[in-house]
Amino acid sequence: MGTLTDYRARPHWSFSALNQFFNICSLQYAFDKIYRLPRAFTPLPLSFGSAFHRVMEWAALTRMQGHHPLADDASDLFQNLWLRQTVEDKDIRYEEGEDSDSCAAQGRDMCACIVGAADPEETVLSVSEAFCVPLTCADGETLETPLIGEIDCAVEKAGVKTLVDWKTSGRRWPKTKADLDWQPTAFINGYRLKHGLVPEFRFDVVVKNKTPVLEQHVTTRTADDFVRLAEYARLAESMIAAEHFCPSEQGFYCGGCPHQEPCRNWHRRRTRVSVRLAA
Amino acid sequence: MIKLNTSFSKKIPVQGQEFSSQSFHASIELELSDSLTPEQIREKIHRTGDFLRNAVDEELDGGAAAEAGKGAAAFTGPQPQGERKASNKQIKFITDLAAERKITLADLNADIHKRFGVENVYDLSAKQASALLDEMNAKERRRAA
Repeated sequence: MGTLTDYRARPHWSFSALNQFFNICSLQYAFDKIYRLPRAFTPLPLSFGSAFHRVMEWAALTRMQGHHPLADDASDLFQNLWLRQTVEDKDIRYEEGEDSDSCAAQGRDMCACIVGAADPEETVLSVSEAFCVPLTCADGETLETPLIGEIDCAVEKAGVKTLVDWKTSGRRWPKTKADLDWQPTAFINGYRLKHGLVPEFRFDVVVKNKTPVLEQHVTTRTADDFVRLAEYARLAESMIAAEHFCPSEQGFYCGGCPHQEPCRNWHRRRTRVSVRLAA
Repeated sequence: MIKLNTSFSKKIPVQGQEFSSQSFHASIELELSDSLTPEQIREKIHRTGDFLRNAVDEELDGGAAAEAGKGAAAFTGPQPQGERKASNKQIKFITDLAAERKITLADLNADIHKRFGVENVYDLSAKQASALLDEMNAKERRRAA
């Protein structure tokens, strides 16, 4: 079975690449994926999310083997993994009022919250399942560059298959977010083409409140959404070939962007480079 | 937590082809408790190595593959390690031809799995993709004639 690492070795599109290009900042995409600039620091959400994600993987694998992961074990595992993460990512940038210890305490509570809320009626079908599928546009053309991804977890309850993605968030999600997000579109499409059936998609979001809260947002997609995403990929390919990268400087993401310095100099020091399509 | 990475690989000659070999490889990653003594860790390494060696040998004998109902194809098909993967261009040709014949991706992948022992058209090696393309094109020509 191909792994995400295998699929990453070929030119590809992913939800995160498309999301970064269109919804975050195309210049940040270019700095990361085309010019491959080193990051000035590691954004905290990246390191924190990494440790959190590994705990969730452990919990889902435990459930898949028919056991019940304990909230306390999840907390302890997070503590260990977070410590390791802070050693691996030496340049984590903490936000005001945060440090390694406060993040450890918060992560412990968040892991306990989500693991403790696992539905015993749900069967875990797979964990970290990779896919690599073609993208087909509205005119029937298939793009040469495939779409890849890794589904955190697939579950089944009462005959309904659902793809689950684990998230942490600083605030509660707006009601419309799950329906507008491109991740369910990419992942449902990947699963549909791989398995021949259209599942539901659920975000399991743990909100970083003083007492963490688990939110579950279920959403679905139709064939039209898949074609629309492919059209975005086709548009991105033409924009990348033409080096149409534009800073999104009033964006919500600028504060946590690790490329602020080259971004400030973007209009003065544009360099033409030979550009490979897609990341 | 201690991380244990163990891998085992075995090369065997390809029957009927001189100077050729196929390499089979399995690896496993385990997390061990910090509280284990060096002796216990050594024992874990030893056991994991044995487990992998037996698993690879079993697969090569066709045991597990046959039990799983996959037959010998599962082990005659997969590409030898290090062989170049099919390019996106090759795969696009394959999926386009399949689409023209109204073959869904799931059906195409099922056929590829049966014949080459890989899960997905994107897991094919360049040689396997090339052979498949030749075959699909030949069928197309026969249909057109």
